[in-house]
Amino acid sequence: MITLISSDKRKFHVLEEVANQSLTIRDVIEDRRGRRRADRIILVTNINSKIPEKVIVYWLRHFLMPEEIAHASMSHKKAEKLKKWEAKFFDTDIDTLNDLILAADSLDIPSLFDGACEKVSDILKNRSAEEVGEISKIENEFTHEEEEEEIPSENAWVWRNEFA
Amino acid sequence: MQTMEASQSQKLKQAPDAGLDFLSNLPELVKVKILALLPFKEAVRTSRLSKCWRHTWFAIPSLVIYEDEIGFQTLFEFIAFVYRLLSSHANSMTKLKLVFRHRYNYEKPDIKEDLDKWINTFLEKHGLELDLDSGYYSTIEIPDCLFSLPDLEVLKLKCCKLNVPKHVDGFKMVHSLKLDTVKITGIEIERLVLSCPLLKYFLIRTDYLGLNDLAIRSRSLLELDIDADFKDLYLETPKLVTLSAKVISTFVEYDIYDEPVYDDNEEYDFPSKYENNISRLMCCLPQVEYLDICYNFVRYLDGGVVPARLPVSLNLTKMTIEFATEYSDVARCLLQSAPRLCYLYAKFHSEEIQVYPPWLRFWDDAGATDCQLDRLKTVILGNECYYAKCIVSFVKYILKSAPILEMVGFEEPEDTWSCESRPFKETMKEVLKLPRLSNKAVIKMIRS
Repeated sequence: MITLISSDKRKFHVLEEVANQSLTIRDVIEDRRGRRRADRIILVTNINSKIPEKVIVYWLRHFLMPEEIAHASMSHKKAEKLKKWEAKFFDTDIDTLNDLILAADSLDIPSLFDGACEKVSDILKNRSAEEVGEISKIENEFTHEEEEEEIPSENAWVWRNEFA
Repeated sequence: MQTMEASQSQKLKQAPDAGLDFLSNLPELVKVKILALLPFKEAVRTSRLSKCWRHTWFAIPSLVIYEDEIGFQTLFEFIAFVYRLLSSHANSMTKLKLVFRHRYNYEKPDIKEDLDKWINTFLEKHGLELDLDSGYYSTIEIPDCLFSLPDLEVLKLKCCKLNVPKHVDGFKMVHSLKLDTVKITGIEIERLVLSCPLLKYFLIRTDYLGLNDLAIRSRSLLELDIDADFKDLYLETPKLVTLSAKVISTFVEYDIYDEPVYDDNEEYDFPSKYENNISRLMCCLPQVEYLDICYNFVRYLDGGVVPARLPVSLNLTKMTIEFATEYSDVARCLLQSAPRLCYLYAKFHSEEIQVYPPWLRFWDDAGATDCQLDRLKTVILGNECYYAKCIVSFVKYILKSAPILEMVGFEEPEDTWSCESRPFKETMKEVLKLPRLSNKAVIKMIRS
């Protein structure tokens, strides 16, 4: 059992085998192997408040269904089930997704990272630049000239039939 | 609906500060990754989001651009865009795929020089995968600088003309080579394959051989897909696992302007100079596990002597074969040489009404002496099979020589009219009465 401590000082006790899904944590554990018990505490301070729960839920679901099986011999039915579960898991607001991506990036959890990136790209798909700007709250600081002339003329083809 | 919610939520947060701009705070690499998952056009549109997104899309490592994408008005605009993209692209490029619009015969874009420059840029960026589709009929000539790409791992060309220089350094890293509808001669194919020491997958689809020989020699090749108008085929591929072979059914000739002249009436009539194609070819494939051969290739194999049995291929477990009653000999020979066959998909080519009568009962005597299909579990019969004259005899042979057979599946005819037809009803009636060696064997209809 190892202990993860989040930025708001909450503790999470996780089985080592489960937390191993994060390559970063796995390396840390590997480094500290054979040392004192206190070293089984890992700070994950760069992660926002409600994210550790989500990550651990994700780990547990995937721990029950190891990656190797997921690819090679998993039955069609089980694969469908996992897919549905993942769709539900990633069906959150863009802030959470953003934090999940950052967490997956710093903890090095490839499947979570890919899944979250895919979801974000799904959200952005088939939307105009204005819509994307609204969803992701990106503030465009372009000057009027840039906005109206320079950018549209750069790659004129992408702006044609915007809503086709 | 979602959009409305989004705009409302923006109104609530009228004063956005830096912390609220979520996506922009992501590391650059993550942003590029998200963009790479979007359709290319939408990824380019993100240049309008904000200053920090303006040039992010230039870093997308895998570029897939279609000329017929809505938006490109002229070929010139497309070319200009590709130039701009390649010259400003910052990072290393993993993949470049350019697909040109399908053109009519008389419209031949002259882009050889542009391609030359693009390939050179691709070379500088150490690109790994190059995929060019010049659009049906246009047949762009690929410049020679293609052969100077040392990092290339995957090469796909479609509707191109390829001249392989006599002294080619070759693609030292290429493991996958796909030449679809490419004008290339047999000698050039041979030279090209020989120059790829790591080649694992090779697809060649061409009607440009003009009945010349095709030889494929490779010590590393695992998967081979041929569809060509060869006269004779030579294989020296000791590691081959999957072979898929077709012979283009209509013979295409080229006139003096290099334009194809189609003559649908002229059937391909195998001028092979060998009398033992089946043993000559199949004996060269000791490792083959999956065989997919279509009608014309079966006809090619049928030429001359078909032995009762070939040296046993222990690895062959899966087979797809398309044949007609009069070429049953090849199918029998292959079946009896594959004792570990598990899966068989048999298609039947539409047949002439007249078939020499002994063929009808051909399978009755085949393999009557010893049972060779010890591992066969699944047999699927393609949806034209009811018209095959030997079908009842064939199914009878399967049922009596496969001890652990689980299913013989008949693909449902596509139209309901065929279900009502006489050959269909009679065939099914007769087949259901046949004796079965395996007590688990089920005969049923399946969807194709």
